[in-house]
Amino acid sequence: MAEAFAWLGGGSARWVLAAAIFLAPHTALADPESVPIDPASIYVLAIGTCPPWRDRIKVCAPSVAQFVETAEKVMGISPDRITTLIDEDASAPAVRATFSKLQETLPRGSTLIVYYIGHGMLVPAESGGEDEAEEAFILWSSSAPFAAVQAVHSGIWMTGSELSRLVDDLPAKDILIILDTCEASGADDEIAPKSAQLARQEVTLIASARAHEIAFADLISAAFTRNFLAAIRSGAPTLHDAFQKAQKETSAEAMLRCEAAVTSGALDEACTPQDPELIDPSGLTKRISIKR
Amino acid sequence: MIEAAIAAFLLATPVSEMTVRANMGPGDLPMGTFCRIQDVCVIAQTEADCGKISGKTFATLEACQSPTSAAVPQQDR
Repeated sequence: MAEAFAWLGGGSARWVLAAAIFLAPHTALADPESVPIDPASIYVLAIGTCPPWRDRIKVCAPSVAQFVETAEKVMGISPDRITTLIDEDASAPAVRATFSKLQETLPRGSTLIVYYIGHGMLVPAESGGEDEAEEAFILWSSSAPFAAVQAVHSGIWMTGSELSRLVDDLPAKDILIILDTCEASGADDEIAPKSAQLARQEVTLIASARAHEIAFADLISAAFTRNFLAAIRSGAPTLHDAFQKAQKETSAEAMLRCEAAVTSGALDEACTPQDPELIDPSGLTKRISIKR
Repeated sequence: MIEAAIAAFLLATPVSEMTVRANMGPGDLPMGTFCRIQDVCVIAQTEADCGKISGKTFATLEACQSPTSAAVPQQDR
């Protein structure tokens, strides 16, 4: 054996080689889905837009600010890896341009968190079925569109299908999309398909509400974002734990709001309490630890 | 603390006003519908609006390919 290492020319090199041989099988056997994500590899795109024609709801800019502050101070993500688009800067062309830039600048193998806070609604799906619908994200326009279908087909708004295509083109290894909007889970089939055959393992979706559910907000904050960020700050060890805590608190809060709305007759139809959803086929949220 | 703040907000805000403004939906914006009048396709706010201009509604933009437009030869630009 000693002769076999003689060509290395010294004892230290022999130890390095021996260590490499000893460690190699363990490295190969390590489950990549259990390896924690390095905060230094995480990038954030935070989008918040409350257009002026949907007056009195001003939660988007402050929600982005709170999300970014939490990302920096609690999750340890460097400010130079965080991009924000707020209100008039979050028009659909600006969002598309930002994704094009990320396509060129994101390092291969990185992790991208896309956070969207804003209005959303279900529109007829691109797939064309009579009863099929998908989520549309209501991006900035200075005046109200003539109709939702017009806003989608003229490119003022962005569908879940388009967002899915944009993230598909990125070199990031893992992508987490957090949507705080009404009917957010309406984007799940396009962004994070549950079918095992269709699932793109790298895309994880956190939705503040399921299809046909209202995402509640008030004058100062959106319910899910507030609870999610509070859970991150209060000691949840991973994003997965923070989501579970926020899910319970948001659902409980929505139950109260729904009951009050139905009791008062403020809603004509039944109010389904907001129930946040996590679709995480690769366990990404368990691998994003929260710095202490 | 958060629960107390939420409870205070719920009590302090008239429910009807809160429900109208306190959600992340599109408000009163109409969905709109594709509307065909002979070979022309437009977007109408409602099916009734489409009917007023003697149109017929349909579900997807793909259905808007008309024989007239398909027959127009492609030209170099």
